[in-house]
Amino acid sequence: MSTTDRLLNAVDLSGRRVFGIRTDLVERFARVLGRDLRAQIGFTIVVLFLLAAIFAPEFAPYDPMAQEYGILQSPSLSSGHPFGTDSFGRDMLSRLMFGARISLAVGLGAVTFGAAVGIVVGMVAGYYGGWIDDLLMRTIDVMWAFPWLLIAIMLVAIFGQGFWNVLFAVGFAYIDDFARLARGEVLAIREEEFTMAAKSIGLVDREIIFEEVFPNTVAPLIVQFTVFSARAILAESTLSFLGLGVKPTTPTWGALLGQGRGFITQAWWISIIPGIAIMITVLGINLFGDALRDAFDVKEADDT
Amino acid sequence: MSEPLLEVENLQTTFATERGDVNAVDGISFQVEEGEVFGIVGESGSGKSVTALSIMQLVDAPGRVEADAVRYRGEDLLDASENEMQSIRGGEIAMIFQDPMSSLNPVMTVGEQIAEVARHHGEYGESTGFWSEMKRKYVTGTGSDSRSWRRAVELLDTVGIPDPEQRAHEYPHQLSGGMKQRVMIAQALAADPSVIVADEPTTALDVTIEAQILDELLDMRDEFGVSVVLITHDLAVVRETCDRVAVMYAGELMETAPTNTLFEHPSHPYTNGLLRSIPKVNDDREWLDSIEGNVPSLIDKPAGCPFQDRCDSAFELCDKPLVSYPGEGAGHEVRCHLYNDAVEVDGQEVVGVANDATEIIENKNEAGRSVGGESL
Amino acid sequence: MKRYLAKRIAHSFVVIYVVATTVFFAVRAIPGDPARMMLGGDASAEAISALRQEMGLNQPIYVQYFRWMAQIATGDLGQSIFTDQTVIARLVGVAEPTLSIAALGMTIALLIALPAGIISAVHQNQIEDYLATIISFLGISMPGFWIGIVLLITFADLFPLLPAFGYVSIGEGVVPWFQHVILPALAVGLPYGGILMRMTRSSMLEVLNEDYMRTARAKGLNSRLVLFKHGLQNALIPVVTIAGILLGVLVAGVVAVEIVFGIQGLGRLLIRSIERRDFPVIQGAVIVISFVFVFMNLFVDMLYTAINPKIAYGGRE
Repeated sequence: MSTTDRLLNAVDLSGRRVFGIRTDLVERFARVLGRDLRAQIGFTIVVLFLLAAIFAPEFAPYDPMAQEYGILQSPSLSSGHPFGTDSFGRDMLSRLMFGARISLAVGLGAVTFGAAVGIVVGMVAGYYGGWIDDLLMRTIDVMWAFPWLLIAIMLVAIFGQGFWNVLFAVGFAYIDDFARLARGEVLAIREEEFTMAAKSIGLVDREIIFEEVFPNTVAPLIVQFTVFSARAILAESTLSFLGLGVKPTTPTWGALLGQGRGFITQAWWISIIPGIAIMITVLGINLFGDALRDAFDVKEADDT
Repeated sequence: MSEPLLEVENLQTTFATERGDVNAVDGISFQVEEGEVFGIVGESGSGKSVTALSIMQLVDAPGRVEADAVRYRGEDLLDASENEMQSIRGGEIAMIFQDPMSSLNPVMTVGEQIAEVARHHGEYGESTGFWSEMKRKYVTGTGSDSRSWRRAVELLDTVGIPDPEQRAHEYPHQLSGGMKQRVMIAQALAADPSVIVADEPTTALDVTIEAQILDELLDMRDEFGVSVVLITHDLAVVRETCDRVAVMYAGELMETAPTNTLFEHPSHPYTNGLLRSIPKVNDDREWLDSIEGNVPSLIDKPAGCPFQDRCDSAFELCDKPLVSYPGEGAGHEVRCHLYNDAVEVDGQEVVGVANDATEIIENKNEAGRSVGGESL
Repeated sequence: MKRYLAKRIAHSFVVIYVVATTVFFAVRAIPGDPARMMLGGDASAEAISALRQEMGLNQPIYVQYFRWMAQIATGDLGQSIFTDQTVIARLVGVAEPTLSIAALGMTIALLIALPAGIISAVHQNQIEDYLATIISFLGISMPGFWIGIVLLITFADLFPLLPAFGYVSIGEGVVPWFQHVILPALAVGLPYGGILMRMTRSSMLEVLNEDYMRTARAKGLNSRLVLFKHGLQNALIPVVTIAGILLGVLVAGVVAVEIVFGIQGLGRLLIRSIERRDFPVIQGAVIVISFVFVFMNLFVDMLYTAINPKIAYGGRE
């Protein structure tokens, strides 16, 4: 037994709620971490980047905006700029760390937004059915599978750039998928016995949805969340690269990449290194999400 | 007696898992004669399906099939190469599976699924090479006037599907459950096999359809002389269709006998338990009889009889490895130490055990697992 | 089946209509006055007003809307505000590069994803699987435009094998066309292909565990035949579905890649038009892109119907 397993067996949390969160889900999460290499790598990467982002002001060696005129440094440890500088002499490492704050915040925030709206819409549509279902799902349907970039570009063009605008523009594309997923789950569970049992003892609709239905549908939603987080970070970087992201002066990873475009031959690091950062982060999220998906995927045991 | 068609000697199939080796089949031996319907009956987890797959060599890693011999018409299948097995599967020994919905390929017409069996095993003059098959599947389809197709239509008719020319062009999801199972039977017959292994063929079907399918199988035996190995958990089915029966539990055989003998003189305590638990029409019991307890874990099975923990008649000899003893009629074998000569039994209660009973058993074991060696 | 097809086509037109309408109003919501932008910062109020009158921007919005709808119906997408060309001319001029990159990118993606996914599934947890999985994970984790930049540096700078920028029409020679298009197409195709490969792998793995595969083996067919004749089509069904759903990823990739490689395509035109508030071109570009998109989805739908007989032939029990 792994250490995590031993710890978890010592503390039996099944079925209890701590601060309203069902502890058996947390337990499952911890087990996945303990066992799956992909989960461990992915989780580590994500946590590292999150920490770098959160504590950027404390740990970044330089002010990301401080310019040393005309000094374009290539990466070298001795010069104090391990990732070099850009054409204005601004330290790349610091810019990367500060960039992480925005890229990660927008990425994760966008998915949260999409999930929040989508799940509510989907659950309501699935639970009530009938014309409510039709109306809600049709509205969402038109945008289904549409190129997210077009929608995002239009939204940013209309409402302007800026942190929240970009967040909503990116997150908009995920509403649909979460709504479908949530609706499908609700439809499946609605017919299950325990919903009828809950109804028969008089629980109100809203209570049923949130207390009974939701906890059982959480697993696929969590997996979906991680998948989309990866996509959202990529999406934000694309928008920033095109100059349509958060205000042009802000150093998000995509923007850094875009700034380096003119100097590809002379200063490859300005574009390449932020790309590596994006890649590692997204890779970490993908690995973790993959492990989660495998863990939550319950296959029936073979019958002899 | 002529040579049996199919002879299984000491079949052992194990699956390696994280928690240990699962002994799904632990030393089974039986024989199937030509033209007979041989039933293997047992509850879920008894290993009956795995037995069927093991005979056909369809068990994949992490499973391992070992046996003293698995003989078909005298040739040991365990020695056969994969090519040889491929020609035996479908061609000599065919298999029908439990759930026709999932056992038929949803993207191929029913006709083609039957025709390809005929084509690969018979002399139809149609190319069976990889690229011909690809062309047939993805480009041209199988011509309705090709011999293999016509054979398929013929078979659909034989198994009682109305309007076979039309149906042959349809896909499995367009057919009802009973019809799908008939298609499986047609598929199994396509190459004129000598044995059909039917793994719970009627479990997924309605009772009324079940009767039709079983009749169908019996017709096959009568018309074509095909032997049937019928695997089921339903004793009623066994009674209606089988000539001989083997009762399996936890991967081992408990009792083997001709059907009538089994039902009239059930010898093994497990068999008795099974028969008692079937509710009868004129039953006026208030409570259903069930066998208390659960099937033992198949990982690291304890020594001796797997049924001892649930058996009313368990006694000291039960933890010795099982040996086959003769039963009450011809062809009747029981694997239960109650039937050891040195044990005195009153009804099924042990009254006395001779001191040398254990010795006798151990001697028998030293001479090799003599399961199946004690028939009259 | 024909009814299904008709329904889908009708649905597609509805979608395009909704898109067109949405775009019209969305574009009008973009802050910025095209007349002012055209004339420059110090133009007089009368000049701006006169230009607006000329461009029909002063009319009530619903009048503008109906005029525009009528125009579209006759195939007239209007006049670009900033150049002398009609919108259609402008669009047609830039369509070819975009379509080339998209088509080649998709082809590359499929050619890589399908075989890799199948091999991965068949050799699950062996070396082939690990390699393919690593590559596909990298592919889906890298932004397409970044892949483009890396390719650019490698093949146009470090080893000057291919041209860095621009596009050559296929009419001027297949080889130069290919040289210019291959790098952008790779940058577009690799991420898309990575996702498809994962999907193919997981779908194939599921199919391998299905009962009908066991039946096929029990019929005495060899493993290659079982895999390709019995398994493949089933495995492709979800892959086709997701290929359709992810066409959005493809489109986004193309737009970004055009910027990287300096290719005058639809994507680049769209971005520029938004910067310049060239309403008619924005509308036209969005509609055309949507049209292509809906058409591609329809194609995917047809493909799906062809490989999944449950759609074409409804159940009859």
